Amino acid sequence: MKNSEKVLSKKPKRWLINLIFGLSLILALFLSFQGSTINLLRWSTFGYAIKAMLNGFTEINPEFLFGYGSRQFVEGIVYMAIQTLAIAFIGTFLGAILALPFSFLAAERIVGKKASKIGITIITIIRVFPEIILALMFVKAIGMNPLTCVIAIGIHSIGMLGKMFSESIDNMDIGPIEALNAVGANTWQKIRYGILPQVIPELTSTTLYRFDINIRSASVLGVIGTLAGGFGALLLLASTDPHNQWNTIATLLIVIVVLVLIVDNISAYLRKKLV
Amino acid sequence: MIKFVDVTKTYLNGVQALKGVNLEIQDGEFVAIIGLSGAGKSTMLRSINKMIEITSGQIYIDGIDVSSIKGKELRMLRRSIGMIFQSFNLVKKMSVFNNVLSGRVAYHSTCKTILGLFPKQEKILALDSLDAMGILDKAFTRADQLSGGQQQRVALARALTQEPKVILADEPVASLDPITTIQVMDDFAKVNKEFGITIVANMHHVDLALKYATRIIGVKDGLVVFDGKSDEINDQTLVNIYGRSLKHDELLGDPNE
Repeated sequence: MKNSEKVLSKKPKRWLINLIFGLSLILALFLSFQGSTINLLRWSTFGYAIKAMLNGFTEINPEFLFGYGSRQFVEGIVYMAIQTLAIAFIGTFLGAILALPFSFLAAERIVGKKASKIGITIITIIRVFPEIILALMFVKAIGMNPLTCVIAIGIHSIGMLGKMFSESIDNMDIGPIEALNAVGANTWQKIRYGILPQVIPELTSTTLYRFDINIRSASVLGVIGTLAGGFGALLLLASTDPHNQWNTIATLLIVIVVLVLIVDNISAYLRKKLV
Repeated sequence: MIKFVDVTKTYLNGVQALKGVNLEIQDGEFVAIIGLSGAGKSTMLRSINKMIEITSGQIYIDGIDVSSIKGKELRMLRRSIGMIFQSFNLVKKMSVFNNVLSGRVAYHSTCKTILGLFPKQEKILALDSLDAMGILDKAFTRADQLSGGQQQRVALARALTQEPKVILADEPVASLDPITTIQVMDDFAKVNKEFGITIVANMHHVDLALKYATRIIGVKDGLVVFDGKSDEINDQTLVNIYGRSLKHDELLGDPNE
């Protein structure tokens, strides 16, 4: 037998492992279908619903979209778009400020390997709470108003921002800190002249990315109530209306898409400039 | 004046980097410390401003026992000692000007420095330092836009802005090409002569050390095996320091040759 044939005969046999893996995947899918009560029989109405939705896009309500009546300006879609942007902006800003101390606690470079585990755990716990749950909690505490959404978005943002900030801090060059030590700088001066100038461009870039995500969140968070601000309440009202106001929903979705596209492009441009 | 008295340093892993060093460095000297990698050059240099803590003995700077001070006293001592590193240690994303100005932070309160408030004469001082290094026109560019040699000059300007009595240089030209090396060494010579600042530098290149330094300290296995003027160095003393004589191609060579 040639050497190559010998080696071929020793080729590891993976088929059993592959079979077990494949069967487990099928089993998991089956169990998940059972658990999620997806009713296959209702698919007959699915096509009808899709058609109604698509029709909504052809019957966009221009009065609703562009109307500038006195009521429109306070409750109209332009006002709501600005409010949504404002909620996302303040929420992101709040999140970034709150994330800073957590990220220092979670950075190995700053607090050491063991202590950083504690910081990372705190950040993970914060991230587990969905914005909508936080918002519902804060409705109890501070009532139904846009501030509720701002705080919910701010706190939820700590999760992602804190994690990514701490990674930026861990990736920075340690040399300038050494130099500042030699210059006689104290801890605060080392943070101000050694750490912050190194990480702020990356932090700003991460925060801009989070702003994108938060605009989408702010658009939906209003579902907790009509006074919570943003598009959410209108979306909820229109979609649960027995007369299915698909044209209203379609109008809103188009506005959200345009808003996100604009902000996406601006932030992509800014991020390229920063890093 | 810098004075070492029976200085030893044993690292946690048991390595004895310094085994009883005694020496005195007078104000205004240009001292080059030479020796093999691992001989203890870097430990010796870094123990002067307590970047490394010595195990026993004393180091005095103008009569102050470095090993006994800490906290604010130590920061005040470090303020008067500039330090230059092999990898420049600048904040690359910050402007040259702010990098140089950061040499002044230990002169001011935390509040003022955090807000970035420096007196006008100190901003002028920072720019004067850049001017002395010949890179005033780069003041408001980002540090990472500069070449290696220019970055080392910014580091020198940062040290000058501290208005130090001493500048310690840990392999200052080890990551530069031969021509830039000569230019940066000329800057060190200028700082030594024109500003009267004592320079203590670790050097890999023997010929550079001989050309620029007024005094050579040869270190081998944690002990000073040569201490004298550069013209007292001969083949035999080099054998004592390096364990064998140096071949011609181990010298940097004159780029003008």
